[in-house]
Amino acid sequence: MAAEAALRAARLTVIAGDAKIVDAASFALSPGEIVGLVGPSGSGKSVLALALLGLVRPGLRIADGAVTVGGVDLLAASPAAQRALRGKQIALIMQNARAALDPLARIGAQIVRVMAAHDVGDAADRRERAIALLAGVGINDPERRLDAYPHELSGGMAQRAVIAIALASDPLVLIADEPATGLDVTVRAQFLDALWRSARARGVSVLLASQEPGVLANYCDRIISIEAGRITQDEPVRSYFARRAPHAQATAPAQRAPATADAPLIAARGVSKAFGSARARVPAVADADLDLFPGDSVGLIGESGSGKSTLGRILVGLLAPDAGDVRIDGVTLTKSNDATRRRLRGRVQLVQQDPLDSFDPRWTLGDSIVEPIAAHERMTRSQRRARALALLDRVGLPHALCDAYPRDAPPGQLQRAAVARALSTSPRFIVLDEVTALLTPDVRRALVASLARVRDEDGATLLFISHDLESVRGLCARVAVMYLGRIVESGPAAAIFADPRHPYTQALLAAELGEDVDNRRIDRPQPHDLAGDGPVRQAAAPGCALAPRCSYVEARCRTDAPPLRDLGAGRSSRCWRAEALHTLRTS
Amino acid sequence: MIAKPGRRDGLFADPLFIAGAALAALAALSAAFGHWLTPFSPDEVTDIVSEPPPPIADWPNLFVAALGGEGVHWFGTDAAGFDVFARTLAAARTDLLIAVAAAAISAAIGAPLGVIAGAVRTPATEALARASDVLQSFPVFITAMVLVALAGRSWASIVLAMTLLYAPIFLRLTRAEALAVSARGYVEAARIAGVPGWRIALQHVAPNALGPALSQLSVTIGFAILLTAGLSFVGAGVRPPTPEWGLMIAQGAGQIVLGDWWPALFPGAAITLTVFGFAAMGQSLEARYGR
Repeated sequence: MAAEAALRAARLTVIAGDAKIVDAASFALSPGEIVGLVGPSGSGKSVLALALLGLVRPGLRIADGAVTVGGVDLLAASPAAQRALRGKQIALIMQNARAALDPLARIGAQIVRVMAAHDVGDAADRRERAIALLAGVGINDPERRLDAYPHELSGGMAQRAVIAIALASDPLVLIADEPATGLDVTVRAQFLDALWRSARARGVSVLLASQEPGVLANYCDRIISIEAGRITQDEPVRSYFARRAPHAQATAPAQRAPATADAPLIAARGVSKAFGSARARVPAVADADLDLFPGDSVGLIGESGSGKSTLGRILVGLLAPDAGDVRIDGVTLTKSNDATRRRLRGRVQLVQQDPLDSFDPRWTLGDSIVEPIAAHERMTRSQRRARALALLDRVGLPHALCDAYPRDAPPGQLQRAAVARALSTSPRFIVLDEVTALLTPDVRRALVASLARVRDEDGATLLFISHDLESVRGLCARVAVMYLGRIVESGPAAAIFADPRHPYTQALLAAELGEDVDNRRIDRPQPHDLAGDGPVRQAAAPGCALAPRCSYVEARCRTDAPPLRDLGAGRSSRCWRAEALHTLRTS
Repeated sequence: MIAKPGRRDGLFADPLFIAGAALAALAALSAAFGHWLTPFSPDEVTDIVSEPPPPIADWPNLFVAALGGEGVHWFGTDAAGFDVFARTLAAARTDLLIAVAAAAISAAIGAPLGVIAGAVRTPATEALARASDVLQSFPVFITAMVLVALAGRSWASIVLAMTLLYAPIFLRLTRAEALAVSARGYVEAARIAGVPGWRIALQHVAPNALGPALSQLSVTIGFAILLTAGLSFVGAGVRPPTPEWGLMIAQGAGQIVLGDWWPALFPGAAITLTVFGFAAMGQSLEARYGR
């Protein structure tokens, strides 16, 4: 197999000045093979991926080595010949793939453009080929989509159209650099499924750079590990995960039983909030009920745009609900945010998604961490410092961070510093809004572990908003699932993960990319995926919001909207067929 | 996280900034110490009328003569007998004083109002922002002419007119930045913690929103010099015989047809270089601190 490799890199070396960013990387991709490229941030993954196309960012230089694609040495070729090979033999999909679409050209035209540039097929049958490509990446009604502009496609569809464009020239090799980062779980799974299926169907080799163990486990045949520019391992996916497994399990924090008490700390009833102008109101949260008991840790999950963050912001008093009744620790939220916040001050806290954005670049981290206390107490400089150091200790951060500025700290530490700031006022209730979204998997696990410690030591109530199911599983005792502004299912975490009672929850869990190599997504049938490409808002349509996408839909679902029904054992679901789902799923 | 390379490298590593700062400094130095460089007064006529500048070849000899205490008309004299060199240097004082005062007062009024209008959104601050938009929509030059005509041709009324024109620019610029800063996570974090609004505006929004105003200050000084000169050129600025570049150009312009190019050329070059200097400095500052 070595003789007929689709791509072979030999001693590929990329330098920046004297530093070797990629150091003598040698490996081969067999035809049709999907190979993961894994390594920590800054390990040279992306530089290596680009260098395979003979491309480097300014300041870098390919110093040595050869990249042979289809028997031709790409790096030795003339610039013009390199351009011809690029795209023709070896294609690229970058992070935020959607940005690669030309907003002014129809999807079909963009695909045909690539074919024409590389003389694929003749002009007459290019349209047919384009339709086949779009169908191959799972786009329904490809003939019509061919004439659509990128903004007319849903996010997930646009992502997959990029795969079709990359494959339009019939390349031998596809380089994909973190192509699914930042996508919602459901969209990500669809995207990677489409990438995997169409690559397999065409015998294209794929190099998939990713830090996500779930992505690697589910889609790759082989894993190449890179560290500080050097390839350290090149092994089958099973042996990679066999090596890795004990480490991953050791850091998983222990689960807790759901907290129960007589009176909830947070009680939200019928909360609604809409945004937009009077003419075009978009409901973000609709009629949401949520109880949180003291010491509870609740995971709020759902796709982007499901209203999770809006609900979280209402619960900390940053947004006033349009309707509904919210009581937080004995304080009833009013229309006036300012008045609410004054009364709640210190008792509720929020940790935000982007740690770098959540710290003032001109303040030291120590000053930022004690800002919530300093806002209400007169403190001397040395008192402030002592408080800041104590808070850093609580989240296991070094004291040196006290005098550091945000730009000097890595995101994982910053996010823990944000947790320290939230803890400064000893709050009763902390909302964590997608706090793990921008972190790498290892850093994510460390943060969840330190959150679990905080929860156990402080007894604070946590609302953990996330679409990262692994973290929710590790931290939360209860889970609430949101779809289009409504809570569609809630209950104990263990029960929901084992036996979801709402079709949307089922789909969300099915889209999770687990690290279990023996149960890969690509090996198992996916009978209960939701139809379509994400939530469809229908103005004032009767019936269940999920009905257009649901595979269990029956007549009643289209006419009557199901209420959130109590199913016993602390569970509730907004599905008419909740009780029957279990048997339907296994049959 | 690695700091963005280049961003905090010293300003003096930027050739654009060095060139701009050098030209601006030259103008400032001649405003402050220009009168030491020549025995002639900018306000007193000499007997020699319309004498051209000496040929360049003679300049080394003339330097020796000048050091010996002899008066040399480096840039020649104009039709009235004023020494053009002395007036060009002295005019820097008039123009820079007016321009720097106008820009500084505009920034001192506009930027704080902009922070308030961006950080605290009430009907009153929205009205303020709209009012400044209205002020900004007036054509600059004509408005200044009318204002000076109404308030009189003194340097104070020129500064006042320019403040009315330039303060809205600072207001708008700073407000836009303050709006962006107000949407940042650290402002939200402070609001959650119950930090009072005025304190957020002072401690978080203002420091992070004033960068663009800083670079705009330099650019505005350049524009203000142009406007000062332009106003006196059309006869709506300072009164003659105040040494002022625009006035000198206006007076020298009539003589160009007679072949006397020097009374207009030297003040013209002074304006060009000074305005370029401030613009270049502003450009360089904007690249670093603008956002």
